[in-house]
This record gives sequence, C-alpha cells and structure tokens, in this order.
Amino acid sequence: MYAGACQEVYDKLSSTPDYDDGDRQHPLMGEASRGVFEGINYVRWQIDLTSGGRIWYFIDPTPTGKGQKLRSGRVIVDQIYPGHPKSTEKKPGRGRGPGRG
Amino acid sequence: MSLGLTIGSLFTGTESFKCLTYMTIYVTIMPMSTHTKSVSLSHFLRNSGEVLEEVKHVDIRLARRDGPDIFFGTDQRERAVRDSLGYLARALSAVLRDPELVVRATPAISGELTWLGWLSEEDQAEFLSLFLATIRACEDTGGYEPLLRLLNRWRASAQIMHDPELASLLAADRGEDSPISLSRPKS
Repeated sequence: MYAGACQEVYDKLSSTPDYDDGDRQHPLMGEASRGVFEGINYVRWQIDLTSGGRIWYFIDPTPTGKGQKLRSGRVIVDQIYPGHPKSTEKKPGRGRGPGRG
Repeated sequence: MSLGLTIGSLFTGTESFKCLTYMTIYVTIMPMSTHTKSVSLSHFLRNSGEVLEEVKHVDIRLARRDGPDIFFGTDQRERAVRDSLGYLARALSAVLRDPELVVRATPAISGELTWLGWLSEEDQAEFLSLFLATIRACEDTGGYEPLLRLLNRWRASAQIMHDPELASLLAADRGEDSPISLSRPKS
C-alpha cells in the first residue's frame, strides 16, 4: 500500500469515520458487525483497500481530551487485512494483530 | 428489463401477470443506454466537445485519480432509469405487503442475491426485513441510494463470512485491549 493511499485512509478515519459512501467505506451488518473493545460493544465498520485488503474499525464518539484541545471521539482500529499481493511481491504478514489506537 | 424478469418469478396470479406484462413492456421501450464508456479527466478536458457529443448516445464515466468517478448521462436516460426503478419498487412493495407472498418470495429473492446464502439464517431474516422496509421507504421518498447502501453493506458482510481468511480474522482472539495512538503516515 503506497504512502499516499495510507494517508488517504488515515484522513478518512480521522475526519469522516462514520461516512457511508455506499461503496468502499461503510458499516458491516449482522454477525460481522458486532465487536467489543474494552468491554464495550461497537458496530464494526470497514474501509476497502486495493488488492482486496480492508480495515475494520470501531467508532467511539465519547469526547476525549480536555479544555481547548477537546477531541470528539476516537477511531479504534480492530483488524487490518492487507489482501492478496501480486505474485512478484513479497507476501506481507497476514492480518496484523489488534492494532488498536 | 432484467429487473422485470426477476420480479416475474414471484408472480403466480392473473392480476400479477398483467402487472408484470405492463412492467416489462414499459422498461423495454424506454431509450436506455446499455453500457457505460469510461474516459479519463484529461481526455475530457482536451476533447470536451467530442465527449459531450458521445453522451447523447452512451453514458460516460469520467475516471479521476483524486476523487470519485463522475457520471455523465442525458437527463432523459437518467429519468428513464429512475422512473423504471420507481415502478418496479412500487410493484415489489405492493406484492410484498401480502405476508403469504413474502414467504413465497423469500427463496426467489435469495436466489437472485447469491451472497445471501453466505449469511446465517438469523442474518438472512434480518436482511430481508430491512430490505423490505428500505424498499418501501425508497418508494415513498423517490430516492434509492439507501437501498444501494443497504445491499452494499450486507454483501460486504456476507463476503467476510464466506471467506475463510476473513472469517478467521473476524473470530481471532484480539488479546488484551491496549490502545496505541497512530500518527498520520508520512510521504
């Protein structure tokens, strides 16, 4: 995944994590939608990446921070699935562990 | 026209057949584009007159690198698709108000949405309930984006359940929840 694409995903997650574009960014449904973090139930969202990869994440709207630097919520990355690389490329590790942040 | 044929599989009575015949004929005679041509933004900027002339006969997808593709088509064709979709949605909604027909329609709907079978029975039931409710809401409002978003969400979810790697990743033990802040990647 190129740096520009990583930045694009980061910008989406940090600015419009709850925007369903009807295509590559949307909440999941049913069994796939249910996730837990720190004992709290969340709806799982997905961003589709190139090569079939995807990022799963939760949206915690609880305001964080203090005073003038109050931030409105956080995005919790649940899992990252890199997809299938081209045969000429080295195979990355499968589905990085809980990259929560 | 393919949508008309799909709904046809749900109809069995005489009244329903008359409705289907009307629907199929209506869709057939409308001047609808059968495919979309894709051009780059740079090509359009260099040859806008030529592209605008082509739009009279075929829908154009303007491919962009820094944003979503843009769709060009004539207002007549767009209204034809929207009106046809509206008629089909109203017909389907009217049929599915009958609980008995809902039971008979479910296998047909499942057959057309092949990924539906990848979901659990509970999820399939939830999908069908939301599907019907969304069709009725779209019929009332005249906009069908909520239906497309619903289908997209459920199809993506079904793909996860069907893919052994993704299903395994979904069920994987996350270990301890230890948040790590992430910074914007550098170029």
